Amino acid sequence: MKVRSTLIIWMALVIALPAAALAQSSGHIQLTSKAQIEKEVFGTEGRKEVKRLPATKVVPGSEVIFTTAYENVSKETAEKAVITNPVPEHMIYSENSARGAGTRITFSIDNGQSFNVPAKLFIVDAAGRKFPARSEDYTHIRWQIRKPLPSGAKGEVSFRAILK
Amino acid sequence: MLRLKEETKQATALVVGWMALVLCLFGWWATAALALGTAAGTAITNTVTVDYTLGSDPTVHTSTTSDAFNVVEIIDVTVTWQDGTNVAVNTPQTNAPLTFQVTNTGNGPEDFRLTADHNISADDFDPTPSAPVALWLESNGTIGLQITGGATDTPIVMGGSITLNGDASAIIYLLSDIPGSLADTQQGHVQMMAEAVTPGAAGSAAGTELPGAGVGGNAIVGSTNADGATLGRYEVSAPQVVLSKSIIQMQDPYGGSQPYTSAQVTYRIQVEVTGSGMAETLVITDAIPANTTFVAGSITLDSISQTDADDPPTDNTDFNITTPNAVTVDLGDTAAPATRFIEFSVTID
Repeated sequence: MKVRSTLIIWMALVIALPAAALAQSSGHIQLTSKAQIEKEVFGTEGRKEVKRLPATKVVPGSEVIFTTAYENVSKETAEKAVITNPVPEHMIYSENSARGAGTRITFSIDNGQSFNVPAKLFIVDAAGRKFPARSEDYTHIRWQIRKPLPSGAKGEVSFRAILK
Repeated sequence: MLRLKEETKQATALVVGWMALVLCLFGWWATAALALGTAAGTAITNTVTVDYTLGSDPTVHTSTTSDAFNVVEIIDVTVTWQDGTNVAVNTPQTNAPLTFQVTNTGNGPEDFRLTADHNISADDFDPTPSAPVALWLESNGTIGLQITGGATDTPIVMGGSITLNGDASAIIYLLSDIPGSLADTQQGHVQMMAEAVTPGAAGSAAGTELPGAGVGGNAIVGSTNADGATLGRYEVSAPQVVLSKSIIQMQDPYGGSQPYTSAQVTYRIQVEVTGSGMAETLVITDAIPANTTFVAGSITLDSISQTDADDPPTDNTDFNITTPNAVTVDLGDTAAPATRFIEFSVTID
């Protein structure tokens, strides 16, 4: 009986730990990420408005907006900050959708081994021919924050992707 | 010997080539089947990492965060008619099959109710659902409908349902009876319908949310309104065979053309196949008139001499073999329109 209750506690811990890890980020720069969808709604005056809602109704073909907020929660200045975001599995990056004020945005088509701007990304086929990479080839997005982040500095970066 | 080897090689290469093609096609199909949509309930996780340094310390620190959501089930179905051209039928005919494909274009497993509407107004006649079973699910791995024998396809009652996983499809045969006394080229249309069994789904507007009706959560009605329907067409394709027989020559022993004893009479049978479709296994049999004797070797078909023996493939005519004391001409499957001429001679006893 005792053995069993210990087991249950362990199981609860095992389940709880990753959840805690997902919910928070540690360190000096804190990240929070959210997934949203856009929906056309009629506002109070009957005008069409585009509203962002949590991504609870995502079906194949839906476009999802991923937004990550960053904040330097330490007392020190953070430098050379680079945010890296793999395009989630089952999703295709939406062309020209990456945003991030004060950042240099680059992409990877080789699973994060190298990054470059879209104009310099090429796919080489079996016959050695080069083709410009398409947005569905992108595996990672990277935002290099240009300026140091003093204590309390914050901002956000985002991109859109379509569910296959 | 060398030549034979060469041919064997070629044949082997051909078989390998075909196998490769089949494998390629299968590979393409499998990919295409998977490409339609991410399965309902799949967790989509976005993980973000930031790397940075602090002040003049070169140590790289890392923070990370994750956010996840689940893919919602979308309910969609399409029905397509597979025959390509109007299905040729006789008048009357029973158990005439139309072939349809029902595809779950959604991303989760769903049950789809199958029904058919035989009373379409814009056609020439109304077929009726065959009894006792009008719907069959292709299930025995052999292309085409098998309703008898060892491994048959699966009967489905009208209004019964089938289960399809996301992106999966099924072949459905719809059997109808065709009324009699119809004219050639008249058409009868039947609408095959498949609708999602999930309550509230079929016929609802795209985007309608159905609480708790999906895999691990809600379901959403897709652009097909969770139902699909399409027409299949029957067309009466009944060839008519018209025979006309005439005497084209009579030669009496005295140089005239009177029906005296020993006069030779040449008959011509005109076989005219009109309408459309195929007169299948058309056989013309003509008994020799009483008090006459068949002239050996006198049969011609379209002016080409035929033997009296039953000797295909030399020809398909005979005298006094298939039917005693008659000329038999087997014209086989004859597509309309066609006209054939059979001639033979007799002498008056």
